[in-house]
Amino acid sequence: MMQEKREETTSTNKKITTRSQSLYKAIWRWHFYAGLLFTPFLLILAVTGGMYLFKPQIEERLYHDLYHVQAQSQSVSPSAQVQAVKENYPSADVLTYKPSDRSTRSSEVGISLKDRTYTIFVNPQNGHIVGKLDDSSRLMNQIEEFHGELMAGTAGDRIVELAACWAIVLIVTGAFLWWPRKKDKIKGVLIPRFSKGKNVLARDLHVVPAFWISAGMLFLVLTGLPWSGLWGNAFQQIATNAGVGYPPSIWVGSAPTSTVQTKDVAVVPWGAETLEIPNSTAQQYTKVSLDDIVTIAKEQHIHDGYTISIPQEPQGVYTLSVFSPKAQDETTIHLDQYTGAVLADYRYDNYGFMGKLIALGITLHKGTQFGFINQLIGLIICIGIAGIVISGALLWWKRKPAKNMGAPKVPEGNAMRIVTCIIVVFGLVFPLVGLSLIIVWLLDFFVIKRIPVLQRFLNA
Amino acid sequence: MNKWKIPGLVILSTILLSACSVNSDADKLYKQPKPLSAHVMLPERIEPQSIRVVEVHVMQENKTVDDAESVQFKVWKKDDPAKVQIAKAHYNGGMYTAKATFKDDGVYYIKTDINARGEHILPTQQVAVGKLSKEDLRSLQPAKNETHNHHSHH
Repeated sequence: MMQEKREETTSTNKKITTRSQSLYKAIWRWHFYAGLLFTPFLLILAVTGGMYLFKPQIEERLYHDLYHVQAQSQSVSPSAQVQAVKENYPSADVLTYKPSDRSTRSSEVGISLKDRTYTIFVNPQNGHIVGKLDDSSRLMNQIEEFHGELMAGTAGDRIVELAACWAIVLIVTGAFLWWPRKKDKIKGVLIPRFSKGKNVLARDLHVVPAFWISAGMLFLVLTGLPWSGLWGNAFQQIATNAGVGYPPSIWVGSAPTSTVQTKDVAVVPWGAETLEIPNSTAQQYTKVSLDDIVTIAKEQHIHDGYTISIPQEPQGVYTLSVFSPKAQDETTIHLDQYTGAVLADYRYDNYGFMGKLIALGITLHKGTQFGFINQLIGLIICIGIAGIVISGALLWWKRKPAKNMGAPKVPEGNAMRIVTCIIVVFGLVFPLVGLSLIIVWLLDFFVIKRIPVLQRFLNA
Repeated sequence: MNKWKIPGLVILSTILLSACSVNSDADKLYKQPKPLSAHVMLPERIEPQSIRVVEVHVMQENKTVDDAESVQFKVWKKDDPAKVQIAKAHYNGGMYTAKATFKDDGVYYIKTDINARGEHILPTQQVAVGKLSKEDLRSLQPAKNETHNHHSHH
């Protein structure tokens, strides 16, 4: 009887071990292919992200001569500054005006000229033009474009989003593989083993730093996803519609419109009957001057460094906006262009709880929320990600057999199916992951399964 | 057939997610402004060398505002923007009214500066006084100049 029972236990134990082993293999296989496929993209994101963190310092150096002017006692009105730009670039449309926030800083006028946008730096003390920058040629804009869309527009944006989503898969599967199977084991889990030979060290130099860095990496992925083109946009729309996200017009949705007031109350004011009336649809009210808009901005106590977007159409609004280093100082105010009336005043406090989280996530992601310390932590995570990605690739390269990819075999039994199911659920939450899974399945079914060489190579 | 259930679901959810957009009344869920609006009444004809009554009806949420902290008309001639005439308005039981002097022929600006209930608006109008020169007439056509860069939005 006893004997029998013991045998039973051993056999169950054995079953559990084989089951957990095949689960391990299944997860390893997903981790392996996801890692291999997204290595280059994660590396690009880490390197460009690490550089972009220091945008304020880098731009301060690059554009020192454009940013700084001699302090003087007199000053020129904002509209006169814009007028100076208009005289220099008569065919340009003036899109934005960013007032100088201290006496030694130039003000910035954003213009569009032949389908390109430029920033014109103006000395606010005498209205002289300090210099001009082509926005698309700015180094930091290019790095941002690389980081956000690999300089490949929408397609690039989708690839970055896909890489970010798969990074979550990598972190979760990686954590499972890392999970210590024996109790009270620290070496090889929390600190690498240096004395157990090259192979163990190579494994530990991937696994151990990955454990330390993964929380930061997950944070960067999750805070970055809300600005992605497909998932992020849908997420923002759902949050805004539910009243918990950003108010409309800040990320998604449209701004309110100015009321075009025609001569409905007063009769045509043009007194000269002998002369032709210029234009019967001429607006009775004129645009509020830029100087008055700056006055309103001061009255509204908007944080320094704000930009005024100038309406380009009869229904357009003046928009005052500032996305300051600290999320709490963010403001977006829409003003009726004919009266200056505040049509919407959205500050951080007016965001829904999800909007607040996203906003805080963005400033933390960009490294501005807590200043230099924030940048430093961001940089450490970026270096860490680059290190994990490279060490992972090396780990594979060292172990790789000559004849195939060296992927773990597809395990038998239910394990693969369980893991696949979890990933499919993940694919439902992140449609791009789902889409990529469909493509992989189609590829597997129509190509790999039919070509034995490929099948052997991929260990499929 | 069962095999295509999950991929089908994925495609469907992708389409659903990308098809949704922000509701036009989503702004009602967030902080609502209470903007002032103003209807400025100007005389039909203004002759040079005249003193005319200018009036404004101030409203908030479609109700007349009668407790404005300050309402004043700022009047200046287009070619002399430094010389601003300030006429403080008083409430006459429906509108805020003041008198402004128009001396010469030409284009004048009338800015109605209203502070009420913590809001500040300053609608500005152009008016023609007496006979206009050709130059003045041309400058009164801002609409044409302003819409040359009209971009279509979807």
